[in-house]
Formats: sequence, C-alpha cells, structure tokens
Amino acid sequence: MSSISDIFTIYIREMLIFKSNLKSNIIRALAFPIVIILLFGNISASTFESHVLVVNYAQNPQSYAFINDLVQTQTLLISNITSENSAINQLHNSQTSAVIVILPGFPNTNNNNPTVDIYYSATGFSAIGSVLSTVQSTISTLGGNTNLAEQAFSNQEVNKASPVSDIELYGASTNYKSFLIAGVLGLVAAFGALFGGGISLINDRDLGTLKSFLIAPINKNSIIVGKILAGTTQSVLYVFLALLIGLADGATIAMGMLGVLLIFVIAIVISIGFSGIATLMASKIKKIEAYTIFAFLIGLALWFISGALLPTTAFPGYLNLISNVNPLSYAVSAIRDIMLVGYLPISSTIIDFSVFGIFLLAGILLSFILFKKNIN
Amino acid sequence: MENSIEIERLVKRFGNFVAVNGISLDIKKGEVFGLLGPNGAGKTTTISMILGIVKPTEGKITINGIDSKKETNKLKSEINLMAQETIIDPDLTAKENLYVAARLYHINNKNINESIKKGLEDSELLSFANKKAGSFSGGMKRRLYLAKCLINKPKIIILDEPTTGLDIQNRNKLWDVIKSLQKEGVTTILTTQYLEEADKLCNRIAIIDKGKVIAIGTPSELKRMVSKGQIIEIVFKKEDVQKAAKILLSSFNIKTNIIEDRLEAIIENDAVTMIPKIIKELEKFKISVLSLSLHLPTMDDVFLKLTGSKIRDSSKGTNDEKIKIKK
Repeated sequence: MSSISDIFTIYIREMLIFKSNLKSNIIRALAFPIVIILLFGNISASTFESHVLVVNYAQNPQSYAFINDLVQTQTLLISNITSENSAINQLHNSQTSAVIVILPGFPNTNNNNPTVDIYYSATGFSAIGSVLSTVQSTISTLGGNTNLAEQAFSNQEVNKASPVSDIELYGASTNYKSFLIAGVLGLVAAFGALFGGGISLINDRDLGTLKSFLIAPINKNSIIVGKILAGTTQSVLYVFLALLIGLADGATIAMGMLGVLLIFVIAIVISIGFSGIATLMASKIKKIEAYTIFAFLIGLALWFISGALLPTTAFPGYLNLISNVNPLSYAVSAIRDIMLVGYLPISSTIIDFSVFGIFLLAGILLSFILFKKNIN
Repeated sequence: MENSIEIERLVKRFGNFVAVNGISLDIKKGEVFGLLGPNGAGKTTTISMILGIVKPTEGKITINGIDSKKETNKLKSEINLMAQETIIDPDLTAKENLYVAARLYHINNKNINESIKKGLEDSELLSFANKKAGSFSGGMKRRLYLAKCLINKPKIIILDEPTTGLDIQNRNKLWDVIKSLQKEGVTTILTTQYLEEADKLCNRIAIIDKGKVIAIGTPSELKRMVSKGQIIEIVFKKEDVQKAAKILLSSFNIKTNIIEDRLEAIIENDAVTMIPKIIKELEKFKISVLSLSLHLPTMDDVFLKLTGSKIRDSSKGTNDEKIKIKK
C-alpha cells in the first residue's frame, strides 16, 4: 500500500512541476507538430512515383497488353503479384499505393460486373488521382470498353465484399493532412516521453532531489514508476491536444470515440516505451544540452523512418528494414488505420500489438534496471 | 548518556579505493557532533552510510538500538539530511515543496497541513507560501530547505556544511535552530569548513583523515592535544622580524614561525606574565611591537597539526569562499 502512496507522491510532484510550467510545456510539445501540420500538410505528394501491385486473374493476352500499357506510361511502378491477400496486406502496411486486380474474363463485361477492381490506400494524397487516371486512360485505349472502364472506377465498383470493403476511406475523402496527422500523433507521444522523463531525471540528479528521494523512507522503484506515469500522463495530454488541432484542421477519426480511446492506448504504450529510451540516455548523458540534442536526433530519426511523413513505399530497401524494427512505425500505422480505415485489420493488429507489448516491456525493464544502476 | 548512533569498524571500499577505513564512533543522544576532515577524508561516505544510501563493505551501524541493515525504512523516517546544496524544487511553491516532503515521509493526512504550516512559520515564509521557490533569495531558499529537512521531526539530523554561502544573519539563525534542536533532544551531526563554527556549536568533534578517525573529543580536549600553552602573535615592521625572532630564541628559548611581518609561537607556561618581559627585551634592541595577541589554540591549529593541512587549503571552494573562511 505504501508503495502505491509513494508512487503517487512522486507522481504528484512531477505533475505539480508540469503544472507550474504548463504554458511553456504545452508550447514546447506542440509547436513543432503544429509547424509540421501547417507546412508539410499542404504539400502535394503527386511527384512521388506511385507503386502499384497488379494481380492478374485473367491471364489472357488482353490483360498482358493492359499491364504492358500501364508500364509504358512510366508514371506507375508496376509489380506483378499472384496473391490478392498478400497484395492487400502490403497496401495496409503502406508498402504500395494501390492494388489492381484484373478479374477473370477481362475485358468482357456482359452483365455490367466490374472487370477490374482497384484498391487504393494511397492515403488520399494526389498520387492516387494519377494512378486512377492512368489506369482509366490505359483501359480506354483497349477500345470498345471505354464505358465499362468508366464504370469500373465509380465508387460502387470497388469490391465491397472484400476484406477491405471500406478501403475507399483511405483515399476518397481525405488528403495528405489527415495522413500526416496520424503520424504527428506518434511524434507527440514519443517526444512527450523523451523530453519529459529524461530531462526530469537529469535535473533531479543535478539538483540533488534524487538524493532527497533516496534518503526518504520510500520504495526506490516508486520513484521511477511515478516518473513514468507522470511522463505518460503528460504525453497523453499532448496527444489529446494535437488530436484536437488535427480535427480542427479537417482530419477525421473513422473509428469514432473508440478510436480516440485506442489512440490514447497507443500513446500510452509509445510513451512508456520511450521512457525506457529516455532513462537509457539520461543514465549515460550528464548534461541537459547534450541530452536534448541526442533526444532530438533519435526521436526525429525514428519518426522520419516510421512512415509518418511519407508512405514507407517511398523508402529504399535499407530504410524499409529499419522501419520494420521501429516501434513507432507500428504505432503510426495503427493510428492511421484507426483514423482513416475505421477498423484495425486483424493481421496487422496482431503484429502491431505484439510490437507494442515488446516495446512496453523493454521500456519498463530498461527504466527499472538503469535507474537502479544510476542511483547506486 | 544513551548512544544515538554506534559505528563499529566501518569500512567502505570503492574498487581498490578505501574511502572509509575502520571508523568506530559513538554519538550520544542529543549531542551536536562535529565531523571534520579535509575533502576526500571520508566524511560524506560515512554520512551516506548512516543515511542508508551507501552500503558498508564491512562493519556495523546501530541507530537508536536498531541495526541499520534491518528496518531501513523505519530508520530513514527518523533521520534527515540537510545537504550542502539547497535541494528544493524551484518550480514549486514553498507550500508545495513542503507538501511533497511531508508525503515522502508518510506524514498522514490529518497532520499534513499542520506540519506544512509549522514549517512555513519556522522558516518565516508564511507570507511567501504560494510563491515559487525559484524566486526566493538564497537565504529564503536555505530556510525552506531546512524546513523540508525538519518536516519529519527527525530524531537525528545530519547537517552537511549547512552555513556555506550564508550571510551572517542567516547563519546566526541557523545556529539558533541547531541549539534549539539540541534542547528538544535531537542528535545533530555537523560537518563544516568553518572551524570556529564547529568550536562554537559542537559538544564533541571527530577529525577524520584518509578514512580514519585521528582524533575525537570535546573542542577544548582537542585544543589541549595540540598544546598546553597559548599562542602568541606579534606584528613588527617588516625589517625587524628576523631580528626579533633571533632575540626571542636567544633570550627566552621560544621557537617562532615567521609569517611576513608577523611572528607566531607557542608559549607553554605563564604566557601572560611573559608578555611584559618580551616587550621590554625587544625595546632594548629598539624593536617596536606594532601589535600583540595571545590566545588559546583554535580549531584551526588543531586541524593543522592533526591533518597537516589547513581546511581551506584542502577545500575545493572558490576564491570567494576561501576569503570568507579566512576572515
């Protein structure tokens, strides 16, 4: 019981300090994300070469000619793939901009059924427009199918029975801003922890407060637990504020209130995980100035390769590799699913939350072990 | 008198370095006990072991009859430390600082407001209760810190160089606090760079050097260890100093130290009656005495003799601090 009260004591102290500098804390935490939303949120991403996966069920000369024509346009990067499921998965993980499925019987369209399904996740930024128009114009060159081709790209023709039936939400009504805001929330959570917990630990060591905690009759672990909890609370608050700014800026949360709750859960996980990184750095770095530089470097690097600014499809292979082991990538992709898709696809959810679990555990263990080392 | 702290053959090694090398001490209940020694002598390590934040390599500390290895939290709640640096949260108000301190010492909700109020009153910060501590003057910060350290009504308080950097007014106030704590039966351990402070406040003093206790006793006992006599200091014109030293040696067999324009010597017996004789003898040689003083050995002399260094030489203090110590 007394440990809980001790944790609460440390928590109260951290929160009182936070409250006493509330304005500057919030400005510091949100200034950077706001600038990113305002500046990057308005750039057009159409200049990126769009990567498209093609699943060819038709396997007839017309379909080959169609694919060949798509390649000839040179605005799309076409890859063939045999499994529709794996293609859709890649789409979910932002590894491709769109999936074109050429249905059996292409290009015959006797009963007005679609001959081509297009799944697009390209996150709404204008690249998807160029994909659609390229595909449309290519189909029209096949002659006689112009009408059908146009139908194929109307909203109704997107295959609603497929596991990604809401796929249109990914792009139809959103823009790059919404894509970006999901990423910015990840940044806010990570930086909240990096600049909350780590700096307070260095400060406490410098000012001697840590010593006064250690001579008090409290459980040593309650110090680090109280600090992590306070840092996490602050991170969640920052995320909440950033989310409000995002919503005011036109973003939507497809999953609604449940989505907001899930975003907070993800923010808590990211914040605790990054508390571990913060404790790791704070135990090695003695000066706040040096700590700030390192925290920025590590925080920004992890954030950039998390796919928060660009889909990871735009990355070269080695960056993709790093991105795959970056916990922030999974947080950003999960928040994006919540905000843009409206539900968490099962396969990626299992991966996301396993990564969160490992990250959470590693963060807690790292904090405990290093803190103990630190105070001895 | 009952012992408050008993330290037996305490040893602390950090790798190959021996910080504390077999210290044994008894500190009595309600006494002000001075712990002096040059920097690196092992004072801080000893204090840290009493506080339970450093584990001894060997030896035993018994506090109020309880082995310090057991019931650490119970002991911690009865001890507090006022460190050299002023440990307060500058972003919190005076009241919040005391609130957090009270919670750290598990003061229950019933008494917490009363404790905070008393702390604010004692530190004369009642009218600044809701001001951020960071905006306080140095003396106010120090008073707030002291109130924090006394919030758990400790039975033992350790004051680590408590008056370093304080102005005279605040220093005198702190001395009063130490005296009134003693009246309440609180055991105080004091380390200080100001030897006259130790002399004035401490019932007993231990001098530690290289991890060992090299002397222990009341201030006057320690002074008698240095010399039974008194110390004479005579100031001359600079050109007369050498000559005067020779005369004192030949006529009175007094060996002197020459310090610039000043002679310093120990007179073992009858120092007071010696003075007119010395002046007369010097007048014969037409050497005029500009000033003369006679005093018992100071703690400075004790320290110098026992550790071979003046405390100020060994201190890492800035020039400003050194000047203050010389005063």
